[in-house]
Amino acid sequence: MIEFGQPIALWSGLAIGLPIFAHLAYQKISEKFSFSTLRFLETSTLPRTGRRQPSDWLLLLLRILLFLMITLLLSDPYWRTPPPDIPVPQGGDERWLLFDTSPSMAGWNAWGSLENTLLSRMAEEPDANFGLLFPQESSLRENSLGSSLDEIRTTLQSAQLQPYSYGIQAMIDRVIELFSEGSRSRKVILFSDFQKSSWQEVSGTLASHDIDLELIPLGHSSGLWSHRTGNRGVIETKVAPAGSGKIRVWSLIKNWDSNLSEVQVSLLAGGQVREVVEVSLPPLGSAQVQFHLPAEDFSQALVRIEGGDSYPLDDNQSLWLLPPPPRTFGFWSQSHSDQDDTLEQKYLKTAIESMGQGDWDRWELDQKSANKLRNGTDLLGPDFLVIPGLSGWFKDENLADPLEHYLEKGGTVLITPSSLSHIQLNQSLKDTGLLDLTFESFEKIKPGIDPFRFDLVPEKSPLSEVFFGVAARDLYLTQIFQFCSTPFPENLQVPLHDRSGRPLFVIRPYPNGGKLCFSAFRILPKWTDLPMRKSFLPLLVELCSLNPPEDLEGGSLRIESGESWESSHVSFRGSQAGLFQVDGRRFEVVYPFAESIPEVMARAELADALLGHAQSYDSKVTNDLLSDASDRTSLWLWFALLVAGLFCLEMILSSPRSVLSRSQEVPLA
Amino acid sequence: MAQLVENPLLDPANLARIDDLSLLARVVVEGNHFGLHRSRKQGHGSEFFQYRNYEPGEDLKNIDWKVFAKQNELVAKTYEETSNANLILILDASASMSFQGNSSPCSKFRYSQMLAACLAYLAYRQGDRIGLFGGNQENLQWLFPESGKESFKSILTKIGSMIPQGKDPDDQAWEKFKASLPAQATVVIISDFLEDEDRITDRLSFAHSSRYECLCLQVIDPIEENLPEMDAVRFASLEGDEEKSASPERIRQEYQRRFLEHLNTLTNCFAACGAEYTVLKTVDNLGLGIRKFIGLRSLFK
Repeated sequence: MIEFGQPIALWSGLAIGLPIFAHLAYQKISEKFSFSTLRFLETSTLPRTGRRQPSDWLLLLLRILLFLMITLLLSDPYWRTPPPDIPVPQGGDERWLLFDTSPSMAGWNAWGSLENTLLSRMAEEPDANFGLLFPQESSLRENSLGSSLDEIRTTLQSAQLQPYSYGIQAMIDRVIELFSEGSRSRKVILFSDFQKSSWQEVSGTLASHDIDLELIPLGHSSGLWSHRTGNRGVIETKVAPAGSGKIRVWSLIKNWDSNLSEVQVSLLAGGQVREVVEVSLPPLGSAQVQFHLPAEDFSQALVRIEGGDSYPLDDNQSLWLLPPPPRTFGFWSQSHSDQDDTLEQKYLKTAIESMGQGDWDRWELDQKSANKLRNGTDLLGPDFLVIPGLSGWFKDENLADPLEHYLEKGGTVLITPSSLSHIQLNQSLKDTGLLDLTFESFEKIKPGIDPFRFDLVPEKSPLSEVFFGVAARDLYLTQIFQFCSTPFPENLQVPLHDRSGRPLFVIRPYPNGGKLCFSAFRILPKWTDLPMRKSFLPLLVELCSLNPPEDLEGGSLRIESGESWESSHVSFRGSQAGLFQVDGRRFEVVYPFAESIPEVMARAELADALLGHAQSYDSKVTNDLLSDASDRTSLWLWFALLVAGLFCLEMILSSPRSVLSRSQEVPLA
Repeated sequence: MAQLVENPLLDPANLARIDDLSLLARVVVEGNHFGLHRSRKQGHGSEFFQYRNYEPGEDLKNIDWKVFAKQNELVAKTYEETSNANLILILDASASMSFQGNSSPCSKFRYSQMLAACLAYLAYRQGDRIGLFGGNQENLQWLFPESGKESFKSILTKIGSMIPQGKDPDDQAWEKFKASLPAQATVVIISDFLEDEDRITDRLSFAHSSRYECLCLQVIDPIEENLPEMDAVRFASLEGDEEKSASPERIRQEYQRRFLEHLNTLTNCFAACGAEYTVLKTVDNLGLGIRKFIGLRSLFK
């Protein structure tokens, strides 16, 4: 029989009054009158006078029918076949017990009440077959159907909270496969705090598999399925140098309650409380606290909210107090360096070492690592590799392969040309495939002649920020030996031109962040009259992108438990909260911020999502819902076609008809 | 001019039923206008007219010797004298002529066809040469004036075969027509004259000459004077795609004023050209137009 998905839309059927009103109220103005000439006629307003009874009954009937069909169309009609008599299964009652192991379960005594609640629920149905399923250690753990109360208690006692929310969706998907075919009744019983961040993305199709659902909330202390209260958490901690011999620990404390809260926050280092700060937290707001410690006395510290609260996992955060390890650089140069090479290498060593901002941002020469990379014994290499005076020797020593490998891994390389022969330089670059460029030789510009100047630094470029306030256009070179010549390939970046548009600095980017920087001039004091520290060093830092990485605050990397971090030579997964050190890289792993949020899912919304339909939640009714999905045949298309047909007919019938155009056939005389 | 007794046989409602234009013309002219027009002249023409008794002293070449041989009786043959008069009928067959109001017995074009046939018959009876110009842009007709029965039949056939459609002949066609006019002629134009007055003046420029006598018979439908009795209607032009929605009730006064103004303008315009002008309605007795023509002929002769 016909039923409607949106029965409320049937009210739109009242709209059939519209055509009736139109037929009564409006005079027909569609009559066409063929007339000899319109030159003496003027357009006038048309009278719209009411009538006592509708004209054109057929058209009125058609229009009423059209409105009725549209009404039915809007009501989402479908044909529902009565469900066949399904034989009652002869198997037992199957109950799968699922529980949540996300970190938020640690709060509001959810985890503590799990065992008792779950075992009590089992006792309510002594004849049913129970199974247990829960996420544990990045996989799902299960006790098969028919497990005894003791077996399940043992499993529960061995279960542990996970450091991050994992496996809830996988658990819902998996449990559907675990019911047997001949079961008499099926039910999934979920135990969780139903914390919003863990459950809001979860969905299931339990209803379509004839599975009932029962939701048992845990840790909803202030009333079932309501907003939980009483949580404050440390949501951010940072360390930074604070003058000579001191460091400052900064922390942000969040109040999740809608009431004002006074808390004590303490800093622990070296096993003792070093400082305690009292802070007032506004409702649903946050406040900052700061602690000062002598530098280099402690390597780790812990910021802790004293007194405890409903969710203890976010009450403290550990952090590293050590400065980050220095970044390294090294040189590849020819065995018998000429005077320019030596001078440039010395200058660059001094320049790069002076780039740091102190202990927390240092550059250190690591020539060993550079040599190992050159010999092929270590593929990691330093953070920054400089090849001064590139010429034929580079090709002769077959250094292109290790260099290419280093660049593909994300390394940064600076190459400067040799002063001697541009022909050898051209051959080295082209033959090794590093840069497809041609160089031309230029006459030495004699001192006293108008020096060559850099092109204006483009506005809004990183370079313009570096040289803001400095007369960047006054940077000039007095001696130019070699240039890159145009044209150059499109995949190369050219951040610096001379005034004639010829590139002075070329960058070839690599997919993993590697960068090959080629300077068309030597970075030598004798090439310019400007003080090198002031002019070329900021240029070098900016062009080679040697600024300190933003994700390394205080030398360590903060990630949430469950997240991974990977670089060219370090890979780390934060499986537990705490402090970790891997290959010299320090990590601070904290519990996910989202787990601290006290909000829980609405019961009906969650039930709908898990059952897989938008009906209101009723754990007892599943057969009807099941048949809904399978026995419906939508009539929407048929009604749409009918409406379209009626609409066409209406257009034909209501098209203007010519009256009084009785053109008579003129007979032949 | 003799007065014509009104006869129901001249009512277009009755005449419109007669399909044969030749018969129609004979009924109208012979039955109702007998004696009003001059009969055919007997003389030295080429067309045989009738026999009569030979009068002594007459030219012997008039005697039909074959009859004498058979019947031993002297009879003289008389011939129809061909006159020098030319009648040129101009018939408008544009689409606007197809209009027929509710109360009219026939369309404007049918009325014009009947009138043209009667005038042609009158001229034929008097031995005039008859020509025809008209039609529309799709089907333009121009038959140079000729005398004789065949020519008359041809004229009637052409009049009967015209179908009102499209627009009236363009200025170029009119220029050609004017250039090929005979030296002297009576020109009768049967049209609704609903086009621009300036164009009409241009087209009738030949009427200024004393060699041409021009009669303009404007055929209109009573509805065209008063608009139909309807509340609201979309007026569609018969000569184009233009449409105007209006309530005839509301615009009637203004329409009548404009239409009358047009008729007055036409009157002045024709007077300036030296043309006679009469308005005929499709419900009017057909004799009205014929009388006007006979009056003009008498004047001209």
